[in-house]
Amino acid sequence: MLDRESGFADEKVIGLLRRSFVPVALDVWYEERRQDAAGELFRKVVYQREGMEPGRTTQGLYVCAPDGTLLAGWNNRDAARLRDRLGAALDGWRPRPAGAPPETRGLEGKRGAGQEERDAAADPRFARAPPDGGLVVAVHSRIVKADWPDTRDAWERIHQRASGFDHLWITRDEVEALARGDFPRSLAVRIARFHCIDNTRGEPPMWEKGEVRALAIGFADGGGSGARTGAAAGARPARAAGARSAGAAGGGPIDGEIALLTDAGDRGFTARAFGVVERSGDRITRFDLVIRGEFFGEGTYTKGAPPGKFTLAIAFTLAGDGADGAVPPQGARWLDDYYGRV
Amino acid sequence: MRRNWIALVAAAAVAAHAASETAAWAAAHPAVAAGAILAPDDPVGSRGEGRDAAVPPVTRAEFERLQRELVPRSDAPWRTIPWSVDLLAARAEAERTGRPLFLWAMNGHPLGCT
Repeated sequence: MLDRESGFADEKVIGLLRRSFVPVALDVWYEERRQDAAGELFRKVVYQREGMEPGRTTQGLYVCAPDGTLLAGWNNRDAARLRDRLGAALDGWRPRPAGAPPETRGLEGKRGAGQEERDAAADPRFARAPPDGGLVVAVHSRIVKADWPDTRDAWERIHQRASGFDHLWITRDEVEALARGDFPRSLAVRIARFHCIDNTRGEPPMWEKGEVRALAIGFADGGGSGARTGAAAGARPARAAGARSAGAAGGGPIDGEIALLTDAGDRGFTARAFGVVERSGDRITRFDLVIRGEFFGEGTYTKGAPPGKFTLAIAFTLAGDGADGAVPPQGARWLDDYYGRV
Repeated sequence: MRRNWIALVAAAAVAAHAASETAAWAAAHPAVAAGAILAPDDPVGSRGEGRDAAVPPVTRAEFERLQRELVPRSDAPWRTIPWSVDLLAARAEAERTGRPLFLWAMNGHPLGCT
């Protein structure tokens, strides 16, 4: 994503944001729709921007007072312009004098509420939280080989080496299955449909159920109690014969194949997978997975894909404890579909 | 020993593809086009071995290399900014500290997808 590699990689911008602002990162898809205090505040801020009207994208960068009064609003990624805008906004900022009444007029009912109260007051249609008892996995994607056209354009060069970033949510039931050494079908389908995507240039289309042409993900050398079959014993590929990790769930590495293709034939991904899952008791202590394959095509918001087929790699690993761990997967906008409930 | 394989193949949908590009793709993936289905107990290689010979397996060495290369350092510059993902909590913080709010608002969460 361009912003992470441009404006928010600038030391002066980082310093300004750390010292003088309260920085917030938001997905406008949720904020535009939610009918609650947070949605009200967001819409109040963004619709003060010059030229803004319903129907236009609210994507952008905004500086505002706690009551939602806009101090600056723009949509440009250039680091120098970002520094200038932040500086100018600070020049115009007059903090509320100590002892003055709060600035959140019109939102008093939610002001001062604790986290539980805010959660309770949130529009449930757009409330997203990591699965109770489940896992949050960070997902990183990058095009590792492509016939990119030559360019001297700095933005294009950022595009060509850009990474995509998302989260995978694994439910409690699926964690329990993994700890038993089973790779749940629901998890494999979720990975294929919502995480085998090229999100290196923007919001990608997900895969419809019928676009999953072939999918096989599992522990290549299970150590469970199932019966040994002649076919399994005779056909094990060499890659599945790796040494077991101490505490490895399923006894061996994850192995897999995935084939995805739209009905129109204009976008596809054929890939192989390898990974390691480790457990301690009932806890999963490691979930590292790599999916790598040949991708072609692009989506409405991911224009500029390399010509022809290119190699896309996607790496999964358990997420840390930072704030971004609370960010829902892109596919969780359609939560029931994401969890395979529909 | 048990292999915990699951599989899903929409062979009928593949067969319905008329577009030449799709036909070419299917030709390159004969087992998928033919509807080779991996049953839960099917081992790798028992069916459709080489069903996509053009895409080689991920070796352990490649897996380890790609994990290193793709997973960013926790100290990547943008990660050092103390982002909040809760607008109301951030507003309370802004009031408490006397600082303005800075909103990074994107279609697709800036700290998530994209």
